[in-house]
Amino acid sequence: MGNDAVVRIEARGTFCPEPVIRMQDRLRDLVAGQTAMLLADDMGVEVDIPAWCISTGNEYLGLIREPKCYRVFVRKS
Amino acid sequence: MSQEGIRALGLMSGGLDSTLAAHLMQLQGVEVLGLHFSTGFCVADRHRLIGNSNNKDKPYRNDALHAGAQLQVPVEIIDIKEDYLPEVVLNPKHGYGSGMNPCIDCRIFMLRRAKQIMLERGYHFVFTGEVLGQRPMSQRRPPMQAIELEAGLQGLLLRPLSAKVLPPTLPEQRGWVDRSQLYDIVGRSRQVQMRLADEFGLVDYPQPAGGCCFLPDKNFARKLRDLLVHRGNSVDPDDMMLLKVGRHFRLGDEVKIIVGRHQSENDFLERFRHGRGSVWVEKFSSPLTLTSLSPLKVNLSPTNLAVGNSAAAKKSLLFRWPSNGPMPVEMEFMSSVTSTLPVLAALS
Ligand code: SF4
Repeated sequence: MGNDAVVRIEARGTFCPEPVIRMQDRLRDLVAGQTAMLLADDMGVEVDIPAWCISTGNEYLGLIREPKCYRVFVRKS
Repeated sequence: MSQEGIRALGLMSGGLDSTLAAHLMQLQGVEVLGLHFSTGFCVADRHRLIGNSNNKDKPYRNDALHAGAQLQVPVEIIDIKEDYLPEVVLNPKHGYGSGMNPCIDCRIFMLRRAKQIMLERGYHFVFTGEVLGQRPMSQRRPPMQAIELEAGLQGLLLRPLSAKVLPPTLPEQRGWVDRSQLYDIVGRSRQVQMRLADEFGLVDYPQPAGGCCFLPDKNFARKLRDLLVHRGNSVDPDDMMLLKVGRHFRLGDEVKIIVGRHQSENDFLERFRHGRGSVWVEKFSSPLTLTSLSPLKVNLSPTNLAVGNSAAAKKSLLFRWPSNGPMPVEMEFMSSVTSTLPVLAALS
């Protein structure tokens, strides 16, 4: 898989901290520069993913709020 | 004098003590990875599940991640729910504290996991924010020694906040960390920790009051004991989730109901409807009630209630049950059996 492909991580229907766990576990397998998109419906991701990115040094690219879920974008550093 | 290239794993709850311990290691040039164990019994997780009723748009945060961000220390969340329930909560070798809290087994379990990660990833030692004498069950001298031993971390478990009143550990003896820069904090007062937080510019940390874990909570313990009495050890993490929410009524050996107390709890219970029965009074803004068995038919009959038979009484019916009066709800669990079930115990 090239670095351009956005890796989709499904966490809808799970509760915090599960979305962060899924992000962290999946990102471990990616190469630096690759982007992941987390799909989640727990609003905790709004604060927890940015905090996790600061703590781990990964790059928080932003979040899209949709009616039924969030799309959170993170680039592996 | 500390050495370059020393790496340590810290148990991070996100509270002030573990944050300070991590910062003390950072100050000594130690590379730190914070481990945050997700047990399924974290009080903060419950707040996040139910949401912030004062401000629905402001979610509760995970304090360990926030502490990591504040210190710029990476934090990894370790999900231990599956094994923690059967191995620690249901079968603690060292027993329970004042509630259903198996604190000694809990510490041993987490530290064993930490040791495993330490060996796999080449870390030098493990540290915690434990303070001697702060907690009656697990933070006295004998259990602290037993925990270190049973976790297989002899000499490799550093408690920076109380290190000077504990025997020197290998990291101190080998000069990986400077013992003179560690602390001698003892007891439950948090004065020294708060002064240190000021000194280090750590301004944003959670208040300790109320505890961070459900297991010592007496109400929670009562509900958990009830569940174990009626279901044996065949309980799963979803059952544990549901213990954190709503009012619980035991109706019979196999029947329990959970009544949402407000909209956020109703929303939460909604997510667990699948595979369970639910009671919802149409046309009234009733709470959602989950039943452990799936009723085929539900008939609300509030005649036994002193509050009468008015629409208003029906509306508030599920909120107004007397704790041990007759249950004014008929639920048909099998096509041939319909009965008004007595409340055996109001659990919360
Ligand atoms: S209070 Fe809960 S998390 Fe803390 S040591 Fe006891 S059982 Fe473990």
